[in-house]
Amino acid sequence: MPLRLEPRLSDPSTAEWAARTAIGLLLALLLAALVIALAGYDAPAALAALWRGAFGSPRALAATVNKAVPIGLCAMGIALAYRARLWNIGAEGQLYFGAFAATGVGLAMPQGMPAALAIAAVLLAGAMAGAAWAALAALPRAYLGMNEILSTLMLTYVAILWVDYLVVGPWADPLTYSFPYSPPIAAAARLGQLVGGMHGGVLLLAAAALLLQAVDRGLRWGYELRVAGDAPGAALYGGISPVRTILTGLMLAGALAGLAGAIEVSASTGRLQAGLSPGYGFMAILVAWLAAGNPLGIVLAAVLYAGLQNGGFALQVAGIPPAITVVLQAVLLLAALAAVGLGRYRVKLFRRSGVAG
Amino acid sequence: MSVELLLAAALVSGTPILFAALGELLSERAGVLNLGVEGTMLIGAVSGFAAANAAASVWPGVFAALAAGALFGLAFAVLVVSLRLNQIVTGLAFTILGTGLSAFIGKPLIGVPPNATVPKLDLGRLADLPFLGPVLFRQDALVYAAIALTALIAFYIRRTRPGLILRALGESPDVVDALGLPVAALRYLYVMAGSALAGLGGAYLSLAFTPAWIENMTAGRGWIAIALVIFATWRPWWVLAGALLFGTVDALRFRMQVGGDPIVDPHFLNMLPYLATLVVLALVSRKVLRQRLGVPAALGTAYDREHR
Repeated sequence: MPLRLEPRLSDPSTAEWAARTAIGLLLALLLAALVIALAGYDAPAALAALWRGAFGSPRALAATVNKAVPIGLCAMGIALAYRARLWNIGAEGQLYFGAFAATGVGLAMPQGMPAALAIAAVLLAGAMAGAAWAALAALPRAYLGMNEILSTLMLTYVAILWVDYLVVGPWADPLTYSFPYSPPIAAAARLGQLVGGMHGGVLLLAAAALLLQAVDRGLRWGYELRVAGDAPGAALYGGISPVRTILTGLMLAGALAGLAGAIEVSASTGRLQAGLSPGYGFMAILVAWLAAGNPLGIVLAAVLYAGLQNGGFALQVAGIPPAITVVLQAVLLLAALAAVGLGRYRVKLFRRSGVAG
Repeated sequence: MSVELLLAAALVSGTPILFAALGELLSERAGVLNLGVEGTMLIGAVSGFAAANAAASVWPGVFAALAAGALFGLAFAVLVVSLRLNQIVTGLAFTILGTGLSAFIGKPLIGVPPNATVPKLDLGRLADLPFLGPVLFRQDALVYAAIALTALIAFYIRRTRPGLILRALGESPDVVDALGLPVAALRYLYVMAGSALAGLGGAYLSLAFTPAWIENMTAGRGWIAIALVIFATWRPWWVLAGALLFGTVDALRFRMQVGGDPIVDPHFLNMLPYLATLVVLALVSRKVLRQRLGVPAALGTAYDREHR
């Protein structure tokens, strides 16, 4: 083999990581432009439309930030669980289950409930349901050692099918019977606008970012999570219960995803519906990795991915298949990871006759 | 619908899942968890349909699906085997990539009528047998190919030397390395072969099952294929059995949607593959059982000679 990858002795610095990520993102954009051009569309016009739809006006920006809330909340949870080297692949399912519980509370609450109480009840129900759904994977992981990567994934499809069943079955809205919708939740439980079209969920995303920051700096529980993840042997020796870190880590991740589902119902749709999330929980995994688990990075990456989601509509108007934004979601992450990954190696050329280690 | 028609439909419904799951089995046995199956199937479905329609013949389509799948697998292998990127995140990204890319390039193919579909095999008098005839002997060529492939892979893994090495790849790649065999190259091979089969599974949908190109037409079958490999505890014949079981569920659901008056809501039927897989996952989490069943121990980890 004339070409060889040699591992470097030290990890790249934060500055180098950021530079490499930026180069990766740029390369991904160029690659997407190439694909668009090859398919016979006007690539510069497409990228311009994408930008306009995502960030081009205050209105577009607000819509993008609103979509970044569920993506960012799920990603914070995924990154948090990964501090303990736990995988939460099932944020999408927890989001749906949270939306289910939030809708249940929002439909059942008595008339004339004060708005603050109603909103708190709906959001709390969502977070608790998300945690409960994550517990279905966390408990067997803690006590049986059941692989949480695959169990959270399988549980996702069960949760989505459960919501699909409700909105065409017992919870189908008699007024919109041709759509898979539940009836609207109580008006008092609707999370209102904050400023400039952004809804109150933005504050909760900021709170989640602060929580993740506290896990890294300050919280004893956060320290325990990280030790349990990086040095399970040392954690055990130090009296950190693996069962407790698994349960709290995964269930808090589930709570954040469930909260995202509740926010979608309370602030955005106002009811439970099939296809409530266009894959926010899965995008969140890409977002968490693109940001390398950094809280501020997650917020930025979530805004970027939400922008892609919104820009898709603008592309459709311009006559370009919006699916290219889905391609971009994947290519942006892969190019950034590859650029960072390459940074861990030195490319060395060998002469074919040479002896290579 | 009679029992024989239901079983015949189950075989057809199970075939795309069987192809994809056999492919995932090869990849996982080699130690690489590929969560990109759903996206790879869609790439296979769209390229198979496009090629078959362009050539007005089905076999170029089948070939194109295999090739496109293998190419997708090659890209995945470059990232996870050579660059050692995380397999889970990269796999998910490939599912998203395949979903988006197939929708993008498939836009002009939406609503295009198929001008070539997989033909039914004429098995002469066998097809007239009572019960067995309609169930087994009136199927298309790819159904038989999928069953033959199951036998072939089962034999390969259990009875041949390369099959033994394949098992070692997923169990303890350092042993393969110590034998002087190229771990990375072998993993490339099995990831690409597995992805080619996922592509074929997708093409079965667009060339035989549906047949047409519809955006997102796999509808979660790639995830079921991944579930199936676990459900079958990484054994080819059990994959076949599971594919028939899940195929029956699929056929039953379809029957209920058409026939009305369901005994069980089809949504709950659709949960079955995932619930069954969760039960198996719980069982194989016991270490004793995991070793006895031969769950690939090095599954999901990149091989790095320096970090043995």
